[in-house]
Amino acid sequence: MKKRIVITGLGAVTPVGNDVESFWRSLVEARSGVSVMQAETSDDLLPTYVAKVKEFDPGRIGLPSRKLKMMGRPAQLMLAAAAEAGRMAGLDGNTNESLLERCGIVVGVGMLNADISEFVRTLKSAQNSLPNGSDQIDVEYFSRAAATEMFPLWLLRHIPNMVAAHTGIMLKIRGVSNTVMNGCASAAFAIGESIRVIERGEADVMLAAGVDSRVNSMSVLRYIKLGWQVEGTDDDPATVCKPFDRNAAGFVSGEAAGVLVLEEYRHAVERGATILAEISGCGAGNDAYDVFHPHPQGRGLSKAISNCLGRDDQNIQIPEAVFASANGIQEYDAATAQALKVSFNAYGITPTVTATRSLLGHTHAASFALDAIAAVKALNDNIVPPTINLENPIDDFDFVLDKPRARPIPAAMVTGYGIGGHAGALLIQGCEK
Amino acid sequence: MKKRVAVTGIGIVSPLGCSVDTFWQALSNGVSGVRSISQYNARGLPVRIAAEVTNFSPNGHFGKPYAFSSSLSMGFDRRTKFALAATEQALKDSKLNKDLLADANVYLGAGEGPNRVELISMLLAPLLKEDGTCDEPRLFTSPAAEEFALHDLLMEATVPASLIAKNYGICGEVMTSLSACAASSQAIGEAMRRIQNEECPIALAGGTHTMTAALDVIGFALLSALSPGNGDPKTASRPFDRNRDGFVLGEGAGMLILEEFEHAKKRGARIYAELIGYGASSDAYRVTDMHPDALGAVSAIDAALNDAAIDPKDIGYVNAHGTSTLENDRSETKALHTALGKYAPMIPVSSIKSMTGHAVAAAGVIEIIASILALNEQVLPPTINLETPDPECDLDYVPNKARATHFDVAMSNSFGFGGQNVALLVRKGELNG
Repeated sequence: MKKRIVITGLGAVTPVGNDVESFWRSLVEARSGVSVMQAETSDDLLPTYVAKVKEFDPGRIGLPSRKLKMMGRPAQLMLAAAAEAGRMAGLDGNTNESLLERCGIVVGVGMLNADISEFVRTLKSAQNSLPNGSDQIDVEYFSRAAATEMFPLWLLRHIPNMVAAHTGIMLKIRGVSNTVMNGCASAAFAIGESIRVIERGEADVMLAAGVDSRVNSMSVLRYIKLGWQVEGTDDDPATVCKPFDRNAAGFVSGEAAGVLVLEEYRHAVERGATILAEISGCGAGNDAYDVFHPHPQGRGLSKAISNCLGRDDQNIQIPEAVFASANGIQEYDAATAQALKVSFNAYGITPTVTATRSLLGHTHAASFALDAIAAVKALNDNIVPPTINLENPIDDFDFVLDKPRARPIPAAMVTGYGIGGHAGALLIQGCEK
Repeated sequence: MKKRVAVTGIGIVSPLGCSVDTFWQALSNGVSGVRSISQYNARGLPVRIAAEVTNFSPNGHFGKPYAFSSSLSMGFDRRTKFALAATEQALKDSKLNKDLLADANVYLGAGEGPNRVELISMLLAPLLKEDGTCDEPRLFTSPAAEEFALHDLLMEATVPASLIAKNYGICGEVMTSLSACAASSQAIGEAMRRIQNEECPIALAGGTHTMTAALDVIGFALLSALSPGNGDPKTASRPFDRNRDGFVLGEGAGMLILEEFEHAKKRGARIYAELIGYGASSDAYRVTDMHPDALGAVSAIDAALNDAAIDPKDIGYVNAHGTSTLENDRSETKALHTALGKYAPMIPVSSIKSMTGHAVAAAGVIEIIASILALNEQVLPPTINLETPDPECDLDYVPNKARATHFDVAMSNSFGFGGQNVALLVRKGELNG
């Protein structure tokens, strides 16, 4: 008998709000988190847009600054979101020891990109040490300077699993800890892993999360040069990200952390936790195609959706709303649309479709977690948040345009798809007691 | 009823050799793979030794560059090539029909690719201003930007796994996890669970990493974690020796073909070994230190023993995490005493990191391969450089010379920086040949 998995806590730090309620309100009210990009070390404006977390005070985590200093931005965002999720699920403060033993964490993270400011002193010192007539800093000169000029704990900010490690320490959880790096769909896989750990009986409670921060110039530069990121400074920032639109010009790179507390149903009932929703399906797939271009038919995503919905026609769950992973890169949006279309036709369903990335930008490894949180809120409030900037849709789905749509949502699907050909799908529904 | 999991193929790229035979020859002869760094000019580094892979010549297939677009292409980094080569070896070794791979899973513990500090310097140095800031707007027109962009993208942790999916047409679940030094052990454990629970009949599980590039060496040297390597490089890695002074960075890749036992038997596959136990935990203590009583390590070992339903007395050999740091050597010894009780002094323990250095995300798979080969050959690889035992490390560490023995079950420990602990148990295969 398979265990039932429910959701008992949520936490979010996002470009449109630094907790779950303000995040959700912004989505429903169609408030964009996109702004023109500003340089890291000066007041200069840069020729693109980003979706940054605003007015975030790492001090709210309640840790001394010497500890915060050894964390990268992703770890700080994650700790704040995990603290909120922990509070909501009743995992903070006086949680008993045996629960902490049976609680684990899986975080989907992206590459922890370096800031320019971390290199400036080293490069300056290397430059000054170069022999006359030379202006090329080679490995030797860089190394010599770095050994004295870099922040001694520099590495700790950039080791991906430190995000899960810091969170585990903060919440004192001692079960399995894992860090998933599956590109834009990472959080989908973190949720899938967490579900498995509970189903196998190796934990009762799991924090499943996604976090990423790609809003500094080094990380945004690469997306611009690869043609994935919207360029410019002159347009109204809220209008530049157009998932599913024929004229989409790329994504807007962003940052966020999203956390879901997953729990075995009986365990949640017995300790009197508030059950927000139930997970009724989860599936994954891979394109087996190109690392950085999608399979034109969205093969991996089709597979993820069919794995999620299952093949047993009798028991099929019908999602009334789909939170789609379109982000504004035309080839990925087209492949996503193809996969959704084939899947919807195969199951004979016509769900409402929305793309929150029009408001949130692309928060990469965090994106799926944010959509999953939005889907839980949508189920509870019976409202689907809108997609903005969609004037010329590439497909004829029942899109929720510009304004939220109120409708009963017994079940919702979240899809994730991106680099590496990784795809994931999650089905959630209201929990029947 | 859980399915049994057989290991039917092995591939390895290591500082001790790039085939199973050369690797085992070196291990059983107590040969060190630690040398002066030769891949680049290391003169400016505070530490100038590492365990590099030296005799690696990828065939034409892996040597081909990746073409992102018609105008932008670049070769893959070392860790990606290592992973592709190890995978090809393992699949050949398993004699699996490649048509069976469509529904296989891939689970890699893989690090990000190596940074190129020359590229970072080329990009940023010309933009440095006198006041210590950086002319960021000019970054976007830098002539080095395109090369940096693709290089940065190809560094993503997911690249090796998704190329494997592409090369062999694997559309099942493809995962990359990066729980630091425990990553590939965790990958193998999770892949094992998928076969046990009938999610797939075949899984490719392993890991790849290269942590010998300049920025990696600088990062770990700044944390004072590395052996300065002042004497003969071959003697620098000396786990459990009183005169140890830190660990030695390494690199490599390993891949296992895991197969449902009956599936393997039916096709007459060579069964190297059976994976019988997996346990994982976290310390929730400090990101930089192990728990002084090694509670996390003990609970991972306990969980693995429970999982395999065996007793400590059934273990014939422990392949230690054994990094050659004072802290790890002592707390791992303590953990083995606690978890194995009165049997601990009788069970031989060795650390092959004395020869391979520390391959971080790839360490776990390289060590489980060593354990499997030890089972097959009934020979224990030694801990070399163990001349003056640390009085607080009082187990039988198989010092300096390989040892012939009779045993059926081996345990391999991996403890990740940040507090993730994994123990794997493996039993001799029933059908050899």
